[in-house]
Amino acid sequence: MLLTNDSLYKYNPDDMSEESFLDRFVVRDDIFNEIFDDINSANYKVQPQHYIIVGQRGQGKTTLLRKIEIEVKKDKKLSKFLLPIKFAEEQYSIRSLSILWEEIAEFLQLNYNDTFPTIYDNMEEHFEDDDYELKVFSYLETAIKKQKKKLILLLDNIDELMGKLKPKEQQQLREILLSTSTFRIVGGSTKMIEQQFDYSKPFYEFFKIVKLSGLNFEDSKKFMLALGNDEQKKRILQVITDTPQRLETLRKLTTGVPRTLVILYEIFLNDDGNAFDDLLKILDEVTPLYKHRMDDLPTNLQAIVHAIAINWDGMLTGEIAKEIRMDSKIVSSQLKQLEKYQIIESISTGKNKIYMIKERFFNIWYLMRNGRKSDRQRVEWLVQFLLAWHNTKELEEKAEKFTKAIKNGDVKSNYAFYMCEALSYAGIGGDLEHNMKDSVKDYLNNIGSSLSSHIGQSDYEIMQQFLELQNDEADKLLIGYSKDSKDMLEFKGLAHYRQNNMEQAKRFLHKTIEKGNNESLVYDTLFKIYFFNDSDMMNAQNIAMKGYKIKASIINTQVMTTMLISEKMFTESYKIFLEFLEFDKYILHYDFIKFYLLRLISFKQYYKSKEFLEIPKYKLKEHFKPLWFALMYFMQDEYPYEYKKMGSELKENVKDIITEIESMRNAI
Amino acid sequence: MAIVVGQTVRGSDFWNREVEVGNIWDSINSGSHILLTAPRRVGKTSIMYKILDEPQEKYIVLYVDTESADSKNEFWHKLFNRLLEEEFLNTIKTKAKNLYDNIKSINPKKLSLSGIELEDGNIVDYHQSFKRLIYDIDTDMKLIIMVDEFAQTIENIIDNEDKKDAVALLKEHRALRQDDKFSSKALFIYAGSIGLEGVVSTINSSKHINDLKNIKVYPLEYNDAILFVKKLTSSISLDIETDTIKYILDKIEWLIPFYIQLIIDESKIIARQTKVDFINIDMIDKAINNALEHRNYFESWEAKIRTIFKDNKYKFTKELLNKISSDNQIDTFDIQNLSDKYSLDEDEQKDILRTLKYDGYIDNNPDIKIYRFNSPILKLWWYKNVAN
Repeated sequence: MLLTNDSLYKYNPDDMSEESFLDRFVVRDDIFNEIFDDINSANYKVQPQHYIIVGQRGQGKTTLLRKIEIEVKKDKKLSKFLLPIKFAEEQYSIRSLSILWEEIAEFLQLNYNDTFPTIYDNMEEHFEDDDYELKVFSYLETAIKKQKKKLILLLDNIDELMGKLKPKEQQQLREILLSTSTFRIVGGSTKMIEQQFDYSKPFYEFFKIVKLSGLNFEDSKKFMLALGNDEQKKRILQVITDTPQRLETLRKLTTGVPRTLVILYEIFLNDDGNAFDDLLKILDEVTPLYKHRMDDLPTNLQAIVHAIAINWDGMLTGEIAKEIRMDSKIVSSQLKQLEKYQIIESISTGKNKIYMIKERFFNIWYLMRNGRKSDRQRVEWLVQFLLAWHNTKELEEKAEKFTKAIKNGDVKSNYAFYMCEALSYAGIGGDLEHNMKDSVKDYLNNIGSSLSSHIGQSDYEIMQQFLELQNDEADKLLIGYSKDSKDMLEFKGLAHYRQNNMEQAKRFLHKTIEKGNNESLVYDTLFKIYFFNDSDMMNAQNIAMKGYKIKASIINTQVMTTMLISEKMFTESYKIFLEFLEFDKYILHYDFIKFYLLRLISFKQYYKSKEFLEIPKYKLKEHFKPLWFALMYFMQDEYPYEYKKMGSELKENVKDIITEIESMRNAI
Repeated sequence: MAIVVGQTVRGSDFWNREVEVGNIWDSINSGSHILLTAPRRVGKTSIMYKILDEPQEKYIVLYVDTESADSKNEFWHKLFNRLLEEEFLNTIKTKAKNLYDNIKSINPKKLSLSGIELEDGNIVDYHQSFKRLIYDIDTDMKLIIMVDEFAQTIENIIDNEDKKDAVALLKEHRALRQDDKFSSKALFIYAGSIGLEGVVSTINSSKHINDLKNIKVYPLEYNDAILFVKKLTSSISLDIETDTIKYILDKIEWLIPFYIQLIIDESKIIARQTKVDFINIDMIDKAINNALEHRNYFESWEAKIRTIFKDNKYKFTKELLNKISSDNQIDTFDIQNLSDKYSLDEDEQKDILRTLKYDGYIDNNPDIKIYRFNSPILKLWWYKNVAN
């Protein structure tokens, strides 16, 4: 069940009942109070301060305007003379200044009919006058003054309205605003209006700008707790109390924009997809606006926006330049342009800046509309939210619940498709993933949805393909898949290793370990990269130790043994050496065995060395004959005849080994 | 006293600009027609309203903003319409009864776009109608006609109609001012966001305004500015030390009430967010930073000069603005020196300065030999983001 009974609440607070609206108005009271205090204490004989509330979509501009409207009407003192005029959110019909005055007159006649029964009709009588355009405002003002009233115009999307006014009309409006005390404007805008900052324009630094930023954690908490019925409030409270980091993660990902917070929270809570459908509806509604915003940009700026939006996470200038194959300096200056247009924003990291799409909602729209259907681009935003919200176990539980709901036919088709893909890319693998995808495909086929053909392959299906192909091709296939399940990460890491892409190999292998992969092959491969490729002894040892702690392998036992003997931890090294010898392939590692035994002998651990060499199972004495005789040289007091058994052909060899041992001994 | 940002300041919110108001009244009393000059946001309109709200005895004041007028006839029509407004009529009901009666006798139905229709069917244009009304004033009260944005009107007429019409309007005004009968009954005060001198010089009509008394609007005196900040902060119940006030003023440098109020307003928001009842230096720094961030559109100002000026002209312009941002101002000697560095001739130099003035970057008011940034916020931004 949705957090509100009316799912439209999320983008149209005007549709809520007044009581519900006021119950939910729990944040931004400092901003409201600042404006309302001014409205309350103003001298209504002089020209008032005009405001513009600036904030991206979903920040709460319309909500603030409604709050002002309600409170003015409720205030005993203000309501006697001050009349709020609040048009519908999109004032498409207002194309000129005279139409604005006419709309106000019409509004007054409709909504304040007792006071202004014929105000619009009276104005209509002058429509055909040749000086109507010049005098229209005075007709309106005269009628309002006669009733001893003042107006407060609450104009949402004032930037669009101002944009429609011709330069002369803007000048006329300024003339009026500078001279009349009859009305005050409080406007809402998604961006700073050009007229406000262009020195040559009439409204240069004219309005008082109130900027809405994203909610901080405390305000996000207050905001979420005010939503829903008692049961839902309890659930939200539990989430916030038990796992406050989730709310913080959600807040960061949405940059604290209230509307996006609510929508995404509901998508996570509800498994039927109703909230998701709401999201799609809102995306449809904003499409003309966002599309227009993109179409207005020159091609090169569009390319930059595309690169950043598709990436979802922030990008450095160099990364963007590389992605779109443009010179960094050019990209840098164009990023400044995009910041000016408030399409992107930057965070400084000291010397560099990271750029991301300013409105997260715009980014979601962009991915859903422009991301490739067949891979994770489209659902990247949902994947990131899922990963931030859930741990691995919870993701698996969600996938199970989701699959069950699919099988019961309880899920809307769009939600079924997107959630299935997102869960898969978030790392669900194995049988769970395969079953989920199969169920969703069947479900979508049964209901005749074309989305079924866009469901991506499961890991299982990919592996089947992999096995049918030859090595290089298989590796390339694996490398090309953007799946993040534990298994797929391992396969990709190994594929990169085989293709000699060591950095990528390390990246994926570490990632699979983070996902809980305990395969020795993973650790051993990483050891080899660090040891042989990077000559990074410290990391090589560390990874071997970690690998050993999980499971002994032929490689990590060697490394452990070497480390222990270097630290003269003899007993511990013996244990692991014996573990090493248990592996069938120990015979491939004679160099290591020789090294270890030499080391032991150099530390005068003769008896143990003799013991190892004489273990019947491994026949090391036969294989390492010269080493045996070198040992007997050192033990000749106890075994006087053994050394003499050495054949003359071994003399030189044994002599070299003895010299080596003595050097090792001297170096200690 | 409220913090007013952008709107005309009136009544108790108006901080006394004794010098300017005094100079205006002195000129009025000596019979001079006045041109009030200053860049945008300095407070010209607020000063005009001070005159309107507190006229001296024997004066009736009329204020009209004509910035949207783009023809001669529309200008006079606007002026004429102001006379008809109830607010004005109430002020003259007892003081200038004859004028009041004459205006009241006008049949609104006889008013058209082009003028007033007489009994005989002829139409008298608004210019003539206006003149006649003034001539007929029979009281010893004098009418002060304050025309705001007159330069904008001239510019609109140049753009939309013809230079000839703009010149004609200027001539009509001069003729009125030179008319003893008219000047004994009324005088003009002109003001505007764009400089009238600059606009009329483009149509070779400087001689038509050379009879105007030029009154400059100055920034606040330092001690006066301290008192101003104290009054402001006290009205919003925030404590502030004198040293902190001096810190603000030293940062802003150009002590215009608008910019002082901007920073105090930003500081008020910070105080509210941090739930304190005082303003300190850290908060001032943050407030200035916020004011700069809220104006990230200044980057477009920088980009604009790159588009308008090329090569040496661009280098000259950039270095000029960099210098002003670090030294607060530049004089004409330094400008000349810089011109020589970049091999610009006099015309090129003048052209650049005119463009920079017109587009709001710099101004040389009140001292024509000294140029400074129009906006201290722009100056701070430029210094932080461009000069360094």
